[in-house]
Amino acid sequence: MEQGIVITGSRNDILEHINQAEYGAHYLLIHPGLRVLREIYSSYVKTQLQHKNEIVFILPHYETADSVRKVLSEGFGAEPNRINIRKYENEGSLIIIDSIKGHFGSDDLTTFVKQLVKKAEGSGKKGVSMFADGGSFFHFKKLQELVEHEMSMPSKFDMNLKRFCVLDRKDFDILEEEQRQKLVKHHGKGLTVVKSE
Amino acid sequence: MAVSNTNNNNSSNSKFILALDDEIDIVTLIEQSLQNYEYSIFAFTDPVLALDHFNSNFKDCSLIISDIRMPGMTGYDFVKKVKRIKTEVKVILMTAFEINDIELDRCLPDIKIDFFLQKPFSIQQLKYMVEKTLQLKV
Repeated sequence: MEQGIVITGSRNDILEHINQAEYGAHYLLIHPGLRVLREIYSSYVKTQLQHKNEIVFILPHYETADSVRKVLSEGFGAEPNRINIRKYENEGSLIIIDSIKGHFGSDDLTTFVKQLVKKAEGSGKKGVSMFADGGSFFHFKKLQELVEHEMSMPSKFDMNLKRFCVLDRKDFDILEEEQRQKLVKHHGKGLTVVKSE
Repeated sequence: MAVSNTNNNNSSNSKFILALDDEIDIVTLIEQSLQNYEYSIFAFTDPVLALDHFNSNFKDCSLIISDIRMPGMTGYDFVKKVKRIKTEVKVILMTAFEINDIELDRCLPDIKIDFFLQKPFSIQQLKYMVEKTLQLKV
């Protein structure tokens, strides 16, 4: 299996790769800032919820769960993608948990995700898409733990899960070269959004 | 990125406030609001640039207003660094998240934070907190 492919491109280029990801995908998404990240996830999440019959799980770090709700419900960027947040959250298709609670809370995240995939399959959904911001590891200076956490997961999942591990470029650059290489090589694809002028 | 520098000539205080938040909308709001009250403001979205500016101009900086969760450098680390340069500089930390005392003790032991500002805040709340903080004795 091919892994560690690095793709650098504009927001739209990278969004295309994310849209084309298949179940099992474990990608690393490096972005230049919150604005671009919001443009990407707001577009993707709308598609997955409205047209792909998926459960979407988001773990934000540099914005609150309420901020994510606002971005999704009001739309963001040049092409606003408005979503009925309440409907999807009530039916359990959209789950938003702060990255610190998700990664460092009392519940085991890996177990939760597995349960979510089972729940998706049992409720007629196709699977789960997940955006997990690794910013919480930087917040607590647990950089080696981030690498170990990523390495503990397979490069390709054998379940109906697409996991996008999200890192801000400024955080990624803090890592040592060896840690950066390990992360990039371990993921199915490393997607880097270049900052548009 | 350095957002801008508003140095009002008619300011009653020659010292400046340094505002830092990775979200440009927020730092611009702070800048424009305090500018209306004739404060001299330097606003940044990048902690490294903010620190560079502080390092070169710390003598004239009276107050830091910083976000906590920022990529590249947390607000805690930023405050630690500026306090190493100028112990007496006053600090307001702001966040949209719950302020966790355990996390605070762990991340900022022995460092005094003058006030915490919970986002979202009104311009009046911001003005009040800035006034109160600047009135505090070192």
